[in-house]
Amino acid sequence: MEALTLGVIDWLVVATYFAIVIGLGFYLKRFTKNEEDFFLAGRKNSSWVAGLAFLSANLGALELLGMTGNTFKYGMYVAHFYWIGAIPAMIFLGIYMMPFYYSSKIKSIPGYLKLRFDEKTRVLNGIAFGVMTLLVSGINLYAMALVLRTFVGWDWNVSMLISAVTVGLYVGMSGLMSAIFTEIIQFFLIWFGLFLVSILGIVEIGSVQEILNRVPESFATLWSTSADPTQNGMMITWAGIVLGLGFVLSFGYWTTDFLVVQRAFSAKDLRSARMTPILASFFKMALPFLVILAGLIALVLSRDPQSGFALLQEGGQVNYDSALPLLIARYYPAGLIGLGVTALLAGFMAGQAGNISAFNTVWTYDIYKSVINRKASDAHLLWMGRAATMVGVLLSIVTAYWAKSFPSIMDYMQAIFSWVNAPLFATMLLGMFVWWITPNGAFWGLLAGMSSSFVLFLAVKFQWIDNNVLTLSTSASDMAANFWRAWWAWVICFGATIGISLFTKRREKSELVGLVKSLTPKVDDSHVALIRRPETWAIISAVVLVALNIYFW
Amino acid sequence: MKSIWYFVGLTLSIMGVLIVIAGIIDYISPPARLTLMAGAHPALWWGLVMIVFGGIFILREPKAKE
Repeated sequence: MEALTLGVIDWLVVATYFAIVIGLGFYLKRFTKNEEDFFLAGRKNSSWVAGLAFLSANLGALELLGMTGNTFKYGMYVAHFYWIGAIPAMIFLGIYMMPFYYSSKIKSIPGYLKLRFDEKTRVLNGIAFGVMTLLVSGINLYAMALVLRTFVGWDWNVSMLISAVTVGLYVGMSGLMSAIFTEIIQFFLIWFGLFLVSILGIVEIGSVQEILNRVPESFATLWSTSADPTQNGMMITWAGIVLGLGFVLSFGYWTTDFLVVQRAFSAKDLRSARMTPILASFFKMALPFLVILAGLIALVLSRDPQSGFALLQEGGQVNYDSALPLLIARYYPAGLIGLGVTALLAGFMAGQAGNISAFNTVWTYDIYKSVINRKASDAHLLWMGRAATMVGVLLSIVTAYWAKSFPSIMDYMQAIFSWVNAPLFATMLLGMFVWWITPNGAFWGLLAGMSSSFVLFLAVKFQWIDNNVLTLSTSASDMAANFWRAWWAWVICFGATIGISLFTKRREKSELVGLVKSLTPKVDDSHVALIRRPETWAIISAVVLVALNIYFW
Repeated sequence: MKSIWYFVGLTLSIMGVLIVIAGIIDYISPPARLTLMAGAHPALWWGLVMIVFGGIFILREPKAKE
């Protein structure tokens, strides 16, 4: 494929984006006066602002390219990541978990672990999360440079350094506030920059129904072929989807990953914080109309010899991630090419900024203040947050070069998520809903879950055990193995935490008020109009989710 | 402090204007290598859509509280 050629106006569009995000950093620095402004954006955002940022922190370009490519490979099953693999967890976070997070005035997820259990559990999770964010941030940077070199022909080093320095500048100046502002701009750029691909694809092929008619039947359904893994592209059963993706991975990510939950902490009050993930759920449900549709359009075009459309081949392997850039090259004239490239750039940079802003908070509060300097003043913590941002950006660049020299590190991405998030969800669930779970039970259970996830990944990678043992089926894809590994890590953490808690010292009930559901008075929102209550919107979101799943059954 | 919606509007409006200019240039003097849907002039009308949305965000801004 020829590289996408950017004209003068395309470059101006890209330059506009850089000018606005750097300008925003300088503008918002004037309003970043204390540590709460820097780490929690002053806790004054509406549920709309926090909700869009909550969603956008997860909406990186890596995901857009990857999910469009995965749709080409697996079909509509990829929509499970957006529907059952996200919405129930987002509703659960808003309705049940957010009151504990928000009301305890914590600044991070490890901060809750400190209040509910003890310091060692907090530090264990803080370190694991810090390592994860830096790895993901660096891999994001590496992936961005790879995409820009492959499709736009940009120099590897220059694109990595410019974007890293830009992110360092605006996050360093105003912390979470500028990260949230740029994430919301990114949200609109992604929709305006990429949705036109789907519109023009529908115009070319005829209609959405025609697109669905022209892909294999198993690629156009969500559940009807899930009883037998050999009958669907993802080679997975409904149990794997529900337990692995819909329960453990989804709840683990959406309810405990500080990268996304931090956005809800920036809300101005408890109602807004609870509304944050619920509002975001509606936008999340709309994303398949951008990502899945583009993937199906690419699939239809590649099956039609007259279309002249084919994915890139590298070393005999199909490059599925090339689907979206190839569609941009097919449909976008001058000006729009710049917009499409800017949308991808914004996605990569906002993904990196999200990781860096979460890292600087966890480092400052859960490692530095908790272990190194307990008496640090607010002004010192603000300085440390800025310093951590710069160090985080530098370490991301190092990780990016590491990833470049060791490409299989990309394979470890899923392992990293199931290593940190899946067991943490078991710890959080037990911590919030079972009062007699002990600090030692939580710490050793979490450690057992994290270790087992890592060992299971290595066991399959180096063929110590077969994938089929893990997935309880005779045939399974790598994706199915990811889902099942997360499930087993969760089960081990859940079981170990309960088992150890039965024999170790419990905390007094009086110490756990506000941290455990059964010991905390119910939130009284009877004065709030029905239409403004989180529960009302949660029900509407759940109904839309069920309707979508039935329609595309 | 200006709200985020102002900056979203500003971004969409500036980019929309640039894209409309690109569309007008392509309309007056079509490039040698046309994209598949060039006849529909997507840059022209999509740029206009962005300007309209950008304008709405900027006009809504004074009412924003955050």
